[in-house]
Amino acid sequence: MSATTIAGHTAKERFIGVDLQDNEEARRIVRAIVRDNPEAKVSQIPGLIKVTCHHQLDIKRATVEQELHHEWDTQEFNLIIISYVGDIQEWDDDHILVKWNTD
Amino acid sequence: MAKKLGLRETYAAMTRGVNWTPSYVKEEEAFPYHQFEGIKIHDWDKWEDPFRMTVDNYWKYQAEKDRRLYAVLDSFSQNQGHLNISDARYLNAIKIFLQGVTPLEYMAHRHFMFISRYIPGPGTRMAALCQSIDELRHTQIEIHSMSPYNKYYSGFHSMRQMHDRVWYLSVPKSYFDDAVTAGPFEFLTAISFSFEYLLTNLLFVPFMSGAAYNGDLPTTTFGFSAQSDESRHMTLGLQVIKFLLEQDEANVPIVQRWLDKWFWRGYRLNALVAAMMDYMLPKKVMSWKEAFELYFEQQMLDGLFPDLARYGIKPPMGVEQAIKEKEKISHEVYWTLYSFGFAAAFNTWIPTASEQDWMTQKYPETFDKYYRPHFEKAQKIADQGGRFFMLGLPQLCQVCQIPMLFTEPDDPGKICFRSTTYQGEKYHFCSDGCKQIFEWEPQKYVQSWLPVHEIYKGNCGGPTVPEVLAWYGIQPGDNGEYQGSVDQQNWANWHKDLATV
Amino acid sequence: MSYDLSPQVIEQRRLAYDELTRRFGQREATRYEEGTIGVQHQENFHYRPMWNPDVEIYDPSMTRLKLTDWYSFLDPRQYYYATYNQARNKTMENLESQLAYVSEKGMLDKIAGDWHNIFLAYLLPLRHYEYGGVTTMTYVARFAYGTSIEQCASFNAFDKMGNSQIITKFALMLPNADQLLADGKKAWLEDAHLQPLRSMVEHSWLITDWAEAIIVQNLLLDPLLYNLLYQEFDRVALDNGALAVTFVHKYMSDWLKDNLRWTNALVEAFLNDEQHGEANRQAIQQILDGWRPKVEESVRPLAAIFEMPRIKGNFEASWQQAAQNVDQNLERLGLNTASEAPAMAG
Repeated sequence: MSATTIAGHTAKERFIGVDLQDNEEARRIVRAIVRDNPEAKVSQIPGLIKVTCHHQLDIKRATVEQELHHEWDTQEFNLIIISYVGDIQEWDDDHILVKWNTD
Repeated sequence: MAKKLGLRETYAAMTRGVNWTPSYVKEEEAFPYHQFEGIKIHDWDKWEDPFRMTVDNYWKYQAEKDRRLYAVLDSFSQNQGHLNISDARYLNAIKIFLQGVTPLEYMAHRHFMFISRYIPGPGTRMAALCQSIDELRHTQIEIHSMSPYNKYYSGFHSMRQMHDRVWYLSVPKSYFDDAVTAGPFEFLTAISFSFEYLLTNLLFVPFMSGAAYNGDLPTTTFGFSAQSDESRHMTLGLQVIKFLLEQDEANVPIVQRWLDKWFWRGYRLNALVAAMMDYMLPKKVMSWKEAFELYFEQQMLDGLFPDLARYGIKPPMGVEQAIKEKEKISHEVYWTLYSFGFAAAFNTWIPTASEQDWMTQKYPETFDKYYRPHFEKAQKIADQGGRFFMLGLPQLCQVCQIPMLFTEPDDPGKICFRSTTYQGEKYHFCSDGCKQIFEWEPQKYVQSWLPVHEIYKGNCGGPTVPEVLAWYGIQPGDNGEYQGSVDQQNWANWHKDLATV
Repeated sequence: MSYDLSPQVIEQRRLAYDELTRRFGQREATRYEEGTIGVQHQENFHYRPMWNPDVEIYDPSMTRLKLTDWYSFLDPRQYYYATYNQARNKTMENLESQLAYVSEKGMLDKIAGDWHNIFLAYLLPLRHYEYGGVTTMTYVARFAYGTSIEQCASFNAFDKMGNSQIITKFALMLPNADQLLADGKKAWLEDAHLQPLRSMVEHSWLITDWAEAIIVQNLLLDPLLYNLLYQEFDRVALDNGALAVTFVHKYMSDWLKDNLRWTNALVEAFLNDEQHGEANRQAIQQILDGWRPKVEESVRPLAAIFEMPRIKGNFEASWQQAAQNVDQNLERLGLNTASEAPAMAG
């Protein structure tokens, strides 16, 4: 990917991501996310878990339910999300999709 | 039996089609404010809401968030958790937060009600209504989280009075006053987009991580909890900007102008955050420079602006200067806060030797050359039993209201002065950016309630420093040097029996 | 770094924020007090609003009523954000479990007669009525003076949105819900018996005195309408076997009671103000006298609803009862009523 320069800053490759609360439930949800998005990188700073990826993150209810061993409403994602980078392209009963519009 | 609807259809049924165009009153009378800014909207149905939170779910999930939060706050108080922070110097960052940022949450709460009332689109109205009470939540969880600190430490006791009166707090106060006195679309661009999307991570995430690193459980907890609401706000911000740009080409230059203004005003406001991050956290997360590179340069310039380029939007005025300034502003601001600390509602101090070495490492181009000498001089004075203070009042920038402490973009050794004349009066600015903002709307900025001018006009309690401090609500212990202060002595006393192995 | 707690008792330097110790003396403050009293900015605003340069950002002149101390009013429910959400979540969970039961039992399949048309004539249109109330109360929430008042108005506005969505939620349980919602909107826009009410709602958006808006919406319009439909007509629904909808009616009636608690307390604060009580009283009476006939005119045409079921309702008796409820509340506040409803016989 060729580098472009905007306002004196040289661009690197775009990424998208979600920052999540670092708690027990979130850690299991992260496992589900990584299963469905194998290229995702997971890192931690105190209090939060960062999940980043180059093109998109697809968070699937069915996979999360497998990790949690109980039903999970995608709306419950509201309880653990801290921030995100990208656009929320879709949020319905079955999945949450984060990616940039122009990718 | 009716079929069960999915999230998308349920949300659509609940929020769309409930609105209607009035016919018994004139539409312009019911909705008088959304056209005067020149923004053209053709189809409100193009508005999208990724989060799709209906009122029932709002009550449910927000109640759950607060249950978790208040359980932590109660536990913190019960266990005298304040004793576990890294050291009491840290709390000065949080004092600035309560005095400077919490009142802005309240302003946002009130004005998102204005947006909900006066913007005709149903999706926007629902999002704004939710954001309004989210901001009330933030106001109150912050007040509640800091309440335990108020019991033991200085500077927390008079949030509103200080925000309304104290000199450095006119920086955030004027920022939000500017936004709420503008038209509704400008407010949305300024706050929803520029503040809550473009610059939000720069303000909040390092702060909250700073809290986590320094053992501040309430701030970490409320910070991360509030941020989950912020995700909805960020979405509103991004949606606003794209919606406006897609609705009509004529909107593009108007939006660009607002982006230029509000990036600069927001960036200048964040100069206070820069100083806090680099100087007030005993355990450091990252430098301002690193935070700016990650949260603005990478996430916004690399991430967001390529998306906006297709509408003809360019990165805002002042970005190049902000990039140039990243090795300077935290130091320039902190030195001023230190110098005028006799009039501040928080303590300041000379960074320790190892903290200064951290600065050298993080700021190789500037710290040793321009800023370490200040602290060496201050240390010499301290060693002789004194304390350096600037005896006088600073000149303030007419727009951002920060003292004129910023230097020329290409010369850290030279203070940047700009000025312009309007209706026979000369006005002063810290930068080309603030000067440009003034020249776009001089009739607005000549109204500024400049704290230093107001002191000289006799509107701040009296002609002497003690009278002004009393009017500010500053009490013994709040201001001045940290070493030897009430907070420092208490801290040392409370930890004197700490066992060391 | 951990700290050995046991041997030290640390004395508090301050018991509460200064705003509260100044007001209440040296005692701990409640979370309601901390989050409400004196929070709104008061002075030294930097710029005048472009959209109304005649006022400051927060300005007591946006109502003709006055309080010597704007925090002499406090919410009797003590709702701040956390307790408000908790309270509403609880009543919503109750309603959802009732509606889940309704669904499970197929109760909406069993509604006799032409209840599809009856819901279309009153309930579905009211989701728009409630939405109109959001418009009115968001105005109040922005411009009311002082956090204790505006906070109540903010929750009131959000409640109106909730009420609207509850009606939608119920409608979605009925067959052909999409069509029903569309027809309900058409009814709101076109049906003769609803036009005076819609006109009333639209005119209330133009009220610029926020206290007047509260009085009109919360003391007159909602109580009259809710009493008539959600209490009186509820009995008609039950008589006709339309049991399921009673849960929605009850939710609305209970909400009205809750909302009247703060409204009444606010009116009392205005009436009892040492300096301004008398002037406030005259102004409030004027507002009531001026709006009452218009409010009644806008609600009366709903008489048509009472004629629709197989077992008809007695509209005149219901109307008198509803009007009497409004009167009783006003009388309790010490205000004069100006009802056109004839006095109850006996």
